[in-house]
This record gives sequence, C-alpha cells and structure tokens, in this order.
Amino acid sequence: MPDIELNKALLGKGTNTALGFRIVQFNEVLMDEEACTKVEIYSKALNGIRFGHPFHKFISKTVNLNKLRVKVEDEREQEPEANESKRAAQPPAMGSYAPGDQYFYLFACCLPVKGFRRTLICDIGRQDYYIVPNSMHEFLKLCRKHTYGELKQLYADSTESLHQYLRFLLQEELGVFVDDLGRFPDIPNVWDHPSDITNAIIDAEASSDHDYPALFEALDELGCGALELRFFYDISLEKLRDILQHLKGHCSHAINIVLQHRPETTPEAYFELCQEHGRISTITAFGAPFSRQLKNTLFQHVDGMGQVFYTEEMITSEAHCGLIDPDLFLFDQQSFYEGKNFNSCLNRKISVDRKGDIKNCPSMLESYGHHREVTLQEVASQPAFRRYWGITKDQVSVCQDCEFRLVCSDCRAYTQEDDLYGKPMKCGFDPYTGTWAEAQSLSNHQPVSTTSA
Amino acid sequence: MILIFSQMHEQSTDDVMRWLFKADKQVVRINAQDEVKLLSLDLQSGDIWLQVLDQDFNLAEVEMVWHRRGGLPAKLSEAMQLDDPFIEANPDLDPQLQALNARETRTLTAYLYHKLFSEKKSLGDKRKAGVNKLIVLEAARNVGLKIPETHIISTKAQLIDLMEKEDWITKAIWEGAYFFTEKRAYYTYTEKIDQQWLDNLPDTFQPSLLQAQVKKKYELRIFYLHGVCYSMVIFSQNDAQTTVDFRKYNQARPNRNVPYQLPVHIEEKIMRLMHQIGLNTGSIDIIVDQDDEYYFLEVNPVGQFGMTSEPCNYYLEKKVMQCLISN
Repeated sequence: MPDIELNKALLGKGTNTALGFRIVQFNEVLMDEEACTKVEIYSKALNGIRFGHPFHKFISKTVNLNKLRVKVEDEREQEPEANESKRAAQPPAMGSYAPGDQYFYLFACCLPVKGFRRTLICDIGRQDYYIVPNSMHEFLKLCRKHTYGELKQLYADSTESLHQYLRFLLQEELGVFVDDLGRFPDIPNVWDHPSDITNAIIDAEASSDHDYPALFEALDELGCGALELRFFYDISLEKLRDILQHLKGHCSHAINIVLQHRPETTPEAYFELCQEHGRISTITAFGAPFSRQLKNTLFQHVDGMGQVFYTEEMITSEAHCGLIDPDLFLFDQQSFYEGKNFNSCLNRKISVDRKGDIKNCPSMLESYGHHREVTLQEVASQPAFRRYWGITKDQVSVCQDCEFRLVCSDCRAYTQEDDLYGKPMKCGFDPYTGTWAEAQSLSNHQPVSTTSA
Repeated sequence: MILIFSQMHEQSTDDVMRWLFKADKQVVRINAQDEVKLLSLDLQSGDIWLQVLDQDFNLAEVEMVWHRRGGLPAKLSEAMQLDDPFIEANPDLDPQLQALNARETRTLTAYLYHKLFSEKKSLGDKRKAGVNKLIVLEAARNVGLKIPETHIISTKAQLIDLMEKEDWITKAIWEGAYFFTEKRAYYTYTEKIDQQWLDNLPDTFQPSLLQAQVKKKYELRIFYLHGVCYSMVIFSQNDAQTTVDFRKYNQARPNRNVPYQLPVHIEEKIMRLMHQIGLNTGSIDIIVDQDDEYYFLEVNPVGQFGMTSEPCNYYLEKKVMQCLISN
C-alpha cells in the first residue's frame, strides 16, 4: 500500500464530484503503473563494473563531466564545444532580476565544491551537477554577504558576467532572491548511522571455505544492510541458493552478487533467483557473451532491485576493484555528507577476502584475523580497524584539489606510490588540467601487484 | 522498556527502532494490524499483562511510550462465541450484546491508555491523535497566529457568493479520502475551486471546508519535538502542479526542500499552541505569503517527519530516539 504522503505517485486524471459526500476531487492512480516509475535511474552500471565502490548506493545519473555547463566571457578556460552554443549574456527583462535590497540565495541543497580549475555545484536535492568556472564560486561567496544592489556595484565593470551568472542560476533553479538570508540556514554537515557496519564484501574463489551462516549472523548483528558477494568463479546457482538461504530473516536489504557466467545459465534463471530473494539488488555475471543490462521479463523492478547485468570482462580477483569512474559518482545527500565527514569507500565497511581473512577491504593487505578464529563483531569494534574510516578527501593529495572529491567513490587500496593518502591509482582525472585521461589502462582492470594479497 | 504504537512497514518507526537498538534499549512495538490479548490486569499490584504476537509483557514495566500511529485493536480477546444458548434462543439480542461488549472493551482500552499516557512519560498521545482541525484553527488564532479565512458551507449559492471576492481552496474537515480497490487508489488533495467545480456541483451538499487561498511565497513544514521546531521550507510556487498542494510531486523538477529558520515570535506561538492543545510532538503546516505573513494551516500529531528529516539532514529519527531514552 503506498503512503500517499511519501509516495511520489503518478498523478492520474482527477475527477471532481460531490457524491453526496463533500466537495472532493478524486485522484486516481493505477497501482501497478506506480511501481514502474522509479526504476530507470538505477541503470548504467557496467562501464566501470560497480565493484568495490560503496555499492550499496546506486548510480543516479549518466554523466558527461567534461562539459563546462556555463561559460563566462572572462574565463580563459574555454573548451571547444561543438553542440553547445554559448549563451549570450542577455540582461534581464526589466533591466534587473530583483529589488536591489534582496539577496540571491543559492539553495542549501546546491553545494559548490571548488576545485583547482573549476567548481562543481552538487545539486543533492535533484541529484544533478553543474560544472562552473571558479569565478562563479567567488560570485556565490559574495552573494552570501551582499545584496543584489551591492553586487551590481561590485560588478560594475562586468555587469554582463553578473547577469550571466544569475541567469544561469535562476534558469536552472539553483536559487532564488530572498529578503533575509538568515531564514535559510545551511544543511547541517553531519552524517551518522545506527549501524556499526553499513556495508560488507565477501569474496570467494572455488577453493574458499567460508562459514557463511556464521558470517551472515555476525553481519546481521552488526546491522549491516548492504552486502556484496563476489564469486571469482562459476559458482552454480544451486550452491548460491544454499548460501543465500542463510540470509533469510536477516537485516540485509540490498545484496549485490558478482559471479562468473555459465554458458548453460539462462537470463530467466538469474531473474528467478532475484524473485526468490527480493533483497538481491544486482547480479553481475562476468565472462558473459555480451555486455549489457538484461531485460527482466519475469517481474517488475522495484526501487532498483532485481537487476541483472552481463559483462564480457573477466573479474578474477579483488584487484579489479578500485576504479574511479564518473559513472560511479554519487550525487545524493547521504553520500555527499558521508564523503565530507568520512571515507567514502571504507567507512563502516567490513570485508572477508578469498582466504577468509577479515579486512577493511579485500584489496588491502592488513588482516585482522581469520573469520573462523575471530568474529566480525570483535574486529569491527577495534579502534585499529576503524582508523581508515575518517580519511576524507581533504587529506588525500591531489584529490584535495579536485572538484569531484565529495561525489567520488575513492579507493584506499590502490593508491599512487602506495601512499595511504595518495590519489587513487585507477583515477584518470587531473584536477590541475581539468581533463580525463582516455579510458586507457584504467578499464582493463589489471591487478596491481604491489598491494594485492 | 519502551512501548511503541505504530503500523506495519512504517519507515520512521523502523528507523527510530534501529537507533534504539544501538542504544541497547528494550522495545515492544504494537502495530495497528497486530492482535493484542489482555491476559490479566491486577488493580492491586498494577500488573497488566498483554500478549502481542506471542510475546507476553507487563505494561507496568513500560517506562516510556511513543504513539507514532495506530493503537490498541478493537478487540482485546478472541471474538465472542455465538454458541451461547441464551443468544441462540434470542438472536435479536445478539447485536445489542456485541455493542455492549465493544463498549466494555473500549472502557478497558481507555484505562490502558490512561495508565500509559497519563501516568508514564510519553511522546505523542493516542487520545489526542485525532485533533479537530476547526478547534485547532481557533486555538492557533487565539495564540496570535494568523489563519486563512475559513468557512463551512453546504450550498452552491454560498459558494458562488464567496467566489466573487476571493480564491478558495477546499480540503478535508477530518482527513482526506484514501480508498483502494484491487487495481486503483483513490485519494484527495487540497484543491483550488474553479468554475468547472461549480458546474458539477449540486445545489446542496454535505458541509464542506473552504479556505481563502493564501498568496503563497513558500510553504513550511515543521516537525515539533518537545519544544524544538525543526523547520523546512518548500519552494513549490514556481510549479503549477504543486502550487495548491505540494504533495502533488513533480518528478522531473522536484520542489526545493531545504532547512528554514523560523522567526522567534512564530516559534514561541507554535510552542504556546502545542502546549494548549496538549501535544508534545506533531507536524505543522504553515504558509508564508507574499507579504511575509505566516499563516497556520494545521497540525498533524502523527504526521510524517521522514520527509522533513531527510532533505534537511536533521536526523530526526535519532532525535526522537534521544527523546525516548532521556529521563
């Protein structure tokens, strides 16, 4: 039953009637239609295999991050854009956007993140983003102190820029003019969660001998909601079913599965499994005949659950993890504030590697003991285990100058010069030039010898 | 022990309970859908044993009650058997006996609520969950809050008269319709009255609530929790679809929902109002008009607060938990 207050229901055709009742307008919604409205935004997973990034969060947008969304005359950094014509700096219709004593209020959910060359405005309300020049960042800072009238004086020499900024911000609905900025405080910069562990990875190869019931029991007790099971071999669906049985009644609510595709397994078989276990959010079958998301003919996806992806690539070890890709960027509020205050990959994560060792992430060297000898709860409570959780991007070299630092998935296992505070090795973005390296070696997922266990 | 009244699948309750578990608190949750049996009640010792889903517990051990939604079911035992020979001989008496039994149970339930909400610490109060909108509107006006001009009318003629001088909206006096068939859901929003309505209306109808449409600058949603107002502003004016009722979401360009700081004098009035109507929590709707006047619309004692908590990053679920465990 949908809750009308919360449910973003499709609006049907309203009928107004008195019905011997009272003046009333009925809005009608087809129940099953409703279920299918939310789905399409969760697709697009294969480019970087959603893998080892905080997989419990979903990808919300297809991004083209090289595009500067607003261009300003005085910006030296003009990228040649074939299909986006420059917006002419038109003055507002009445010569003025608002009374001179008003302030321009950038909505609190639109957060500018300044990089070395450019600024990313993260619209966490609409899960969108805008790349703008750093000069606009300066402008937005001035907006917090000065009225529109004062801004006009400050920009007396470049009114065109001023109006271009405002035109853009108003057009994209990133802000409004208000009388009193004091009424509009910032979103509190906090992140918290009732669970000690929010996400977990369990890796397995054919020879692994994990005690799944005990592991799942422990994760349940820790309140872990998101779980990724990565099988680096062609585990049979029967075996997988046996393992998943042990999750029944547990609190995990989003399970991602990665496994090697068997030629005889049909797409339907994967979907049947999803149907049996409503908490499977994705199945990624590697070594498949083609790469794309499969169309589900069995049932309706709800909230991004029960999706099946094929990829031709081979995912043979944890070393495939750690890719930084715009497709894996997250523009939702939770991720934003988690990333601002904690490490966006390792925070509240626990892992069990192929050999059964408990780690922060399977790709990291440090083991906290074998899961048959020490429990996940014991490890999770150790301060030593938690010491990576607080590494924010502000502490990471290069990344601290990057405009994407608060939406990026990060990786602390494969880093430049093996420095704990080094830039992720599999990131192709250079914030000093504002360019992405071609997919080059990044997408072939070669194991990084220095740190693989 | 903390006792929670709620409904099945109620997200905010689930979230608060996760926080309570983290704080190591023992919780009993009674959903509106649950079967509840009264096992024994001893006025001498004060022990009141209830059974909820095969779990027995003593109400005397409850330290704190949270009425999120729902309440005790209409029956506190197995249904009366009809094989009573007396009733079989006098079948006409059956409905009267049923009615008497219902009254007996209601009196019992009222006593249980009294024990819980009058004698223990509580957040929310089942007995005050169904506030009367009209009484609350008057109370709001009495503490100095502005309210929109309000009429209850039952004839088309009255409506035509009123429409000459103002724009009007109509909304439920009690609660909006919320009907289901197997395939469809039917529900009502706050709606603006227009000419088309007039054409379709009979000359007389059931008394209906009319309110002058406030020239909205923006809308506020306030979650009130023990004297603190957690406010959110909803910029819905730009969007024709959500101008009258923001619940008609626009999927492509959702409204802007961001934190808001109420003027102190409005917060004080809200506090006085909540005190006067005896609520220590609730969700309040206010409209700010083009002249920066604050118009109180209504308070919902069991309103959603997840929709305020989430966009404003207020962690209200955690704050509710803190309320429930603090002494």
